[in-house]
Amino acid sequence: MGCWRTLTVDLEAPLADVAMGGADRLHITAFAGSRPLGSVLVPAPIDPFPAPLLADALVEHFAEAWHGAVLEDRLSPPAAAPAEGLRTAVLVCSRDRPESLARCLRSIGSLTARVDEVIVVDNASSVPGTRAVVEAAGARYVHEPVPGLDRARNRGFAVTTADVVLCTDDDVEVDPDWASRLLDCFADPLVMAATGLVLPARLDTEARQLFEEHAGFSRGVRRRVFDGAETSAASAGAAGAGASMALRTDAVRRAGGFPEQLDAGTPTASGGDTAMVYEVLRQGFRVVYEPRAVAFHHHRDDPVELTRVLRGYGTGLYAFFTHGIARHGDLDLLLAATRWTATRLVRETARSLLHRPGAAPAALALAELRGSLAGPLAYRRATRRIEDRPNVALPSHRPEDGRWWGCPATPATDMPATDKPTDEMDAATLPSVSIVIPSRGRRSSLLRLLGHLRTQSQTAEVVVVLDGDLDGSAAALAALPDLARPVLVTLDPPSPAQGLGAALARNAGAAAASGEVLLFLDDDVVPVDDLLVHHHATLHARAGRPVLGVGPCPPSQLWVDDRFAMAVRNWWVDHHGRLLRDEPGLTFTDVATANLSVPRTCFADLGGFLPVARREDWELGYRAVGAGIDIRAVPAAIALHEADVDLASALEDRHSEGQGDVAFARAHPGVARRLPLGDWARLGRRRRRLVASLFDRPERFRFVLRAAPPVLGMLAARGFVSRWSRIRTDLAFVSYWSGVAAAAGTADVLDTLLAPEVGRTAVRTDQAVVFDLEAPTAWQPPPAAGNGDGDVLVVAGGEALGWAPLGWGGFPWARERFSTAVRWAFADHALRAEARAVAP
Amino acid sequence: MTALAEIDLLDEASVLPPSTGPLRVLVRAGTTVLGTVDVNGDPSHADATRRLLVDRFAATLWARSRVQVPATDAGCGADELTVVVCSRDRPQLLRGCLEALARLTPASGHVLVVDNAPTTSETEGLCAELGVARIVEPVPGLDRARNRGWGAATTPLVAYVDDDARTHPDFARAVASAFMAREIVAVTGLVRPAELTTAAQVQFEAHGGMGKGDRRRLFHREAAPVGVQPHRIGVGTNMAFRRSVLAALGGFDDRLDVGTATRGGGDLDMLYRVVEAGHVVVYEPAAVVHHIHRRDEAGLLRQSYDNGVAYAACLQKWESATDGPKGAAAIGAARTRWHVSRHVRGPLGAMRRRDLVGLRLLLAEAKGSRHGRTALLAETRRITGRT
Repeated sequence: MGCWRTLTVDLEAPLADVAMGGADRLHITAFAGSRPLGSVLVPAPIDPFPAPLLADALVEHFAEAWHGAVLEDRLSPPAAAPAEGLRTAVLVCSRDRPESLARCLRSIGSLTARVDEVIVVDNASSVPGTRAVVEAAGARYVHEPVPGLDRARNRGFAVTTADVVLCTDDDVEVDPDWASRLLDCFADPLVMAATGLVLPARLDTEARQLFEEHAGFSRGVRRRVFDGAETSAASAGAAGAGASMALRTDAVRRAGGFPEQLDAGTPTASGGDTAMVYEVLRQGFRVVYEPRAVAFHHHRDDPVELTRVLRGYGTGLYAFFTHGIARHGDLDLLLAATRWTATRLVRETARSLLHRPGAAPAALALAELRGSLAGPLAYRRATRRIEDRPNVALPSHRPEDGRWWGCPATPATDMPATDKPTDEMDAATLPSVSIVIPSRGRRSSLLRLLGHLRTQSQTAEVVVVLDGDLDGSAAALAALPDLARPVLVTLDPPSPAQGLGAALARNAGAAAASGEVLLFLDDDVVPVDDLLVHHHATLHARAGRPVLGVGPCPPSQLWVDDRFAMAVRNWWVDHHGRLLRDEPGLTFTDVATANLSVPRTCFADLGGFLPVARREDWELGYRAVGAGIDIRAVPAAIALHEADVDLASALEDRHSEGQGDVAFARAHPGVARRLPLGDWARLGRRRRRLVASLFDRPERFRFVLRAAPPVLGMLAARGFVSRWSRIRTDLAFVSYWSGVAAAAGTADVLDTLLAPEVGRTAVRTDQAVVFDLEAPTAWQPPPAAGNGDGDVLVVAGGEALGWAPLGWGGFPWARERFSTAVRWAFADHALRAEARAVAP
Repeated sequence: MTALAEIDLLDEASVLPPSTGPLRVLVRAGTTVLGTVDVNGDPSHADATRRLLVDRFAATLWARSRVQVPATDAGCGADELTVVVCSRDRPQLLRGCLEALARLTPASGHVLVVDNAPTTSETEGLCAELGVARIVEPVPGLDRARNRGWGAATTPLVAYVDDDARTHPDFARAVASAFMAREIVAVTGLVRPAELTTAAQVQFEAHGGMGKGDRRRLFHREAAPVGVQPHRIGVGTNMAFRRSVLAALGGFDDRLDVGTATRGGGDLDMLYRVVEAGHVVVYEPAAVVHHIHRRDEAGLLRQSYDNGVAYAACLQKWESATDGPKGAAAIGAARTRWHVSRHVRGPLGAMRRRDLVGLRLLLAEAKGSRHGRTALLAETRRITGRT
């Protein structure tokens, strides 16, 4: 096979001749900046290999991928920085390889990111030297006498004080940016694990080339996010390997550590990393495969060893399958194992035995087959072996203190100085605040909220609006001491079973309030600190002109058990993450009434909320933006929200949203395309037929919608999360559109609302929203033009490419989706436009 | 009839000729060849056509404009190149060739005409008229003439073009600069048709022609093997060598090529031996030569027949020259593959496609392939007799 030289090339940097050192082929991995584009093997029998020939190969293989990467870079929102004060550690488990460990530690020493500690666990080494190497590198030496890679990892996680631990192996060299790229992934509090791209360090011998081809670690060059709330944990194997993996300490400790019967040093030989990713996904959290974090693995240069390693991979994989199926009763994993056996194991072995092109040598394939067959028994043997000794004791995970969004936990008084009441903004100069709380049949949570509001350091008038007194709330309020008693407005709904709705209740509360600023709170939120009122008041005092202040309402619990609760949690965390990070460019879809402040006069001018069951919040925001009122985040005014929704009531909510959207769109022609009902024009044939049938009989799927949630619950409990998630989305779709159908009556109404001339004319004349693919701020999106209701004009190379429906990005939290959609639709156009700019 | 054209997308002044028929366009970006495209010439839509071409090569154009290759002086200069033209009693064709060579910018170091077994003095007169150096090789045989050519040349690089070829003005620069490393000892280039006026010429191009693609490629025994198929590297009407390597390998084989019983194959044999010796050959599409294909079908069939004789003779030669049974077996396998694909399956496919011309060409080649062995033996006997 000859001798190959590995080379990483940055296409953005000047190329140079390549010294071949006796090799006659180049294994090139191309990057555009930090983005990997792919690998290619190029004949290079010239030493040094001339740069023009290198450029030929690069242009031939990577031109389009390169352009795609550049476009993606331009369109991606700047990566959010990980939470300040995240403590980090690097963990290397090593056994009997001091030289290779020294090389690994050297590369760790040149990391650009701040690493608080480097821990090396010396796992049952039989040769001396490890301790000396570790101490010479200034790392922390921990000894673990019992052999087992997972046991060594647990030892590392037991001693570390870090929040995020970056794991790698002793036969790996990491790129200087490795740690910072992986850590960037943890800006999202839902990311519990991140894995990186592992490239071969050298391919100079046939054994190494075979290893790379048939047992390499590369998982491709596309960034992938595995969301445990939507994808089955059985996909854990695709997420990456322990040679380059970062984990939140919390997640590992929650899972009870790595399963000690797995991975090297035990009969199972590997699989511990996959098992941990699996656990994270089972908790509904996210695992990111970030190919920009690069590590280089030194493959074994020994054909015998190679066979052993492949055999171990087979054993480890099937031991992992056994582990998941036996421990969690995960039937989806059983299905995945069956599929893997049929398509991969049997077919690849057959291909190898038939010497098909690209197949592994028969000896390797048979080794993997043998290892795989031995997997379940090896798992049993390893489990027996650890039965009689205790696992490594891990400190229990940190108690849930409701502060998961800012790691580490900071006490409430430790607010940024500018937000303290003692700031230049004296409490006396702040506007007076009236808190309006609509409530219906939730006495205990209402009283709890009132209790919290009493402790606020800025006093405020509290107006409680009871939308029908179902459970003696009025009496309970009357029983409060004088000072704590809120202003009480009681509405009188025509029938006690159905209230007048929160919108009318809020309007009534606003009418009774006397403060300069209205602060709407839901009755089931809990303020995080005593400055909630102050933060809102400060925003309005600072803004100088009327603004709408939206405070975040993140869920109170990050660790939940129910499958649907995980999905809801992820949605809320994403949605309120933008407010917590104080991202600019909020628009009407960011307005939520659970924690919203608005000047009272301004609210009166706008005319209050539209009396609909849902969407009154967006509708108010829409009118506000139309009136030139900004929507601002109040990041510090956090009110925790108990996300105790179940699937059945969530489906009902979707139904109401469908109804609300129709009312919203009727009130404001042109907004329809920015609402979910704007999909009507883009639905596929089958979906469109389904929706059309709903218009004939809006109640058609009532029984299905009622019966489905318990059945779905069983599906999720057996691990079929992908399927569960798909069905759930379909149900929500049906529910939403039956709401639309119920409110609209006929499909013609939708066609009228979505008529192409509505909205677009306004954009095309004086305020066309131009989305320049080449401008670095291009991702700063459409909402910049206020209520630009229609489409966005996409340009590149000074050339108009076409119109993108704003509906794609109408929801600001879906910006990434918008940029992806634009990229899909216009990448080719952009490439051609830019080429025309090159060639006159 | 298809007209030939060329366009440089980076040069605004470069436009397509005002033609209304189909055009075969060589598309370049500066000195880089992007590809060949057939378009419908329409002077009123010149801009649209150009835009079409830019779109077609958008990714390459964009990437080439961004990739940063340092300016290098690793390649050779055009003045280090001697262009050798071997000709035998075809002064009319030769005149066109020499005139094209006179238009080279930058000019090549030298131009040398080898007058092979002349029967008239017309070639001598032509060279005197154009002021081109000329030497005589009295014994007929293209390879003999080629050997005479590099023997007489004084520059380190020698390029060979045939008298029915017309070089592109950029030819000398492109060839010389492709010698960008000492391992590269030979460079072949792109051969485009000079004209596509007769049916035979169109047929010849349709059945493969002489071009080897639009991509720069390397050939090497280990890293980029070409096996026993040197015709994938290039052809004799557009090839250049380091003179030192020709000397080291003992020059071209006098028994081969036009003028002898083997009727061709001297170029293939030399390229094969260069690669087998462990050297690197580069195919450089920017080095363009336009070749006047045979105008009549008889000529086309004769050339096919000649190719059959020549390749069979080459295989025979390589087989007897390899040491060890493994090499001989490889050549035997190549011969079998050649016969099966070109002389059994090829004609069957041509019949299925109702491609009568293709069928006749392949059959002519098959017929020729039966005489390669005897032709080589006859030439071997003649040479040993002569020496």
